[in-house]
Amino acid sequence: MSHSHEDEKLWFGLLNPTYMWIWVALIVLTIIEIIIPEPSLIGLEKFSRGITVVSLIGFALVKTILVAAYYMHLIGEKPAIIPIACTPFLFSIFLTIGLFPYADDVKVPERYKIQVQEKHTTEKKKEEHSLLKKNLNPANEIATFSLPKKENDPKH
Amino acid sequence: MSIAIGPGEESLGVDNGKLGMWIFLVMDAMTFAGFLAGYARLRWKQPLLDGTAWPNPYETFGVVGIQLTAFNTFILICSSVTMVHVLSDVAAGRIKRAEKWCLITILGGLCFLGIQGYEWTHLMGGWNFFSETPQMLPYNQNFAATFLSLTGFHGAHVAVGVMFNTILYLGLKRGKIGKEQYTFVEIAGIYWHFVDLVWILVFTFVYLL
Repeated sequence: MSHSHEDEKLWFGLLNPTYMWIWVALIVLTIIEIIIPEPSLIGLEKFSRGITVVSLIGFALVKTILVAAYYMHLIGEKPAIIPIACTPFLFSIFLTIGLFPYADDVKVPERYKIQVQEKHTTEKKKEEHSLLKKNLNPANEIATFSLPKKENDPKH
Repeated sequence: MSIAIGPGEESLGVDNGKLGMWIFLVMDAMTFAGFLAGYARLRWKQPLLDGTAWPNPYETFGVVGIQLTAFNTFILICSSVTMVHVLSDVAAGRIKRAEKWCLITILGGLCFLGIQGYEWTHLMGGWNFFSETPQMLPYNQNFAATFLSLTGFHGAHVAVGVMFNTILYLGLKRGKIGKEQYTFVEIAGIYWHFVDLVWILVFTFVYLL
């Protein structure tokens, strides 16, 4: 099939069937993507987390490139547009690397620490209280069968 | 020396309108990149309290929920193809056929928005997002925050795209857009495909990972 220069300019050198093949590729990749995190859908065993993450990001990037190159016509576009279109990708990579939590001992804000401590203290108190109710010594869990004595009790 | 500022003029060898749309999309893509990078950062964080670990999307949305969104993705990909047909038919001068494809594209966008609206109302009811004691939620609030901001921002883009395509459809129907104005159709197409492109990433990161 031959095309004139004007036709090529209008169609960006692409033919209709190419669009449909890209559509088929996008649908197939989407189906694969849905199966990867839940392989039990087709009766397979679960993949490891590493394989899942890498393959999903890989497939997503392939789909993104297919859409950008063929549907947005980047493949037949003037070279000046391509670096402009790639800028957000570079930006997102820098941003993700820059925001990565490198240190394991990230400083936890004080208010969160208090919440955690309070929660633990309350749970501990509840536990002690329930043990006391059962007349048990919370320290060694030995039954004492007597109520704890008060220091300033006038009876003693 | 002539300065390329008028409609149909070219800069860097590209039509001004198209270049303008690309530059706008670059800015928009950076906003999405910010959302996605923030999402990634929050997801890497160690949980501070018990029960606030990042939830497994398959457990949170359920297999049915994921499949509904997958169907939504399918609709958006199909509407991208119909948009490409609008452009190729306009370029070939088949305006009546282009009108039909354009109408299908608009319906695809509306269908996407409808399903997303259903999903949002359904999830908000299940998540108790507006509950008085949100700290009692059994999952990380960051999950809900990033989910709603990412899908919401994308949904707004789809809504704008539907409006854009409606203007295109009316232009085609009234004979204001013809073979000579195919650049306008191409610009609308670039925007619509960008919406599809971003959804591919959002769907993978939020629903599948």
